[in-house]
Amino acid sequence: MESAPSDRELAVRVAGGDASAEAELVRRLAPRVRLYGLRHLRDASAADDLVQEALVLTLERLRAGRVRQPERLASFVFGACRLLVRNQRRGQRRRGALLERFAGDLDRQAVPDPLRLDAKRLRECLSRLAERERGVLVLTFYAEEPAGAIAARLGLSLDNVRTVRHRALGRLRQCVEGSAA
Amino acid sequence: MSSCSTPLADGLVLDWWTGELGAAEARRVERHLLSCGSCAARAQGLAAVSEGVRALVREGRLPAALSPSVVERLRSEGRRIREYRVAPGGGVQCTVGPDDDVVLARLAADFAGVSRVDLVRRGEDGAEQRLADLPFDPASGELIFSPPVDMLRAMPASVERMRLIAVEPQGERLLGEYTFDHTPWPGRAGA
Repeated sequence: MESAPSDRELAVRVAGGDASAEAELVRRLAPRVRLYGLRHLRDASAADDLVQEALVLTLERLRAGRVRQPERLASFVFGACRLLVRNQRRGQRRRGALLERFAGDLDRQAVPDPLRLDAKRLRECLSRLAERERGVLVLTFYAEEPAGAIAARLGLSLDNVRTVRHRALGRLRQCVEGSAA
Repeated sequence: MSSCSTPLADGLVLDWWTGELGAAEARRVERHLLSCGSCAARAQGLAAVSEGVRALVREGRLPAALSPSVVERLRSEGRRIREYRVAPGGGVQCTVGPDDDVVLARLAADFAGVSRVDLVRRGEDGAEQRLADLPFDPASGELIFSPPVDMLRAMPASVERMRLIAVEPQGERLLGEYTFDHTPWPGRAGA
């Protein structure tokens, strides 16, 4: 079986004008950039904007031969993400000149749909957790409280909150994936 | 998908997602996630759970005991909250409106010295459901319970009784009993 090309190989091929390599690179990087965006922006549409802007910037630089170390592609993308997130936080949500010029070149078909869980299944699985486990997950993911704050709020130790959280996520993952009754 | 020679531990990815890492460690994790398909896929699974939980809470579809901080966040996001505050021994006429996003039962009680609280729900048919060891904020003087709005909307007119019970080494102690006299919104399915 042929092994998948590395990010570096794809970057080199993009620099050489290979359209299929561009599509593969977009398919590969889009979910990773979206993850970064969700972590820092906590908003799905803002994360989608980040995907588009970061990938347009990356492809444009690769095509122009301006990514000097293709083996360090991730570092370039990381730098682009940091810059773009900082701009978004400053309220600069307007499309930049680069995006105006090159957005049409991005192969949108290659951007995979984001991973979404079936809401009904997730609710069933959450309902099977112990009340305390479910409560800790709600405080973690909805209220965005760190473990220390949750511990203080619920009168638990920090280690206890971390253990409850870890166990709850493990059980939830098993259930969502259908391996637990 | 290619495997990873230096996979990130699940706990580390969770700490990154929740913002509990220092700046340097967070940058290291982020560089790794941008270069590693298999670790990024695991992190995407975590992000999907996070997004799913947020959506269920925001839509009032998750049965859960909520902290005041969660209620404040719902308010700040503009969610429409219908809430019923009930003192021990008290009761309330209640319903769920077509525009309500979240319904809250705010059960007042004295939690001094209490480390574990169970909630017993008793329907009109006498069937009981016991929710054990609910998370609660002892200083708040109330337990906030959010029943799923879609289930409330499907309920006919009925009376539900809730009991808060402190579970202590020497036995159980009733903290309060609360009565909810539910009437469907006029024109709704259960009306």
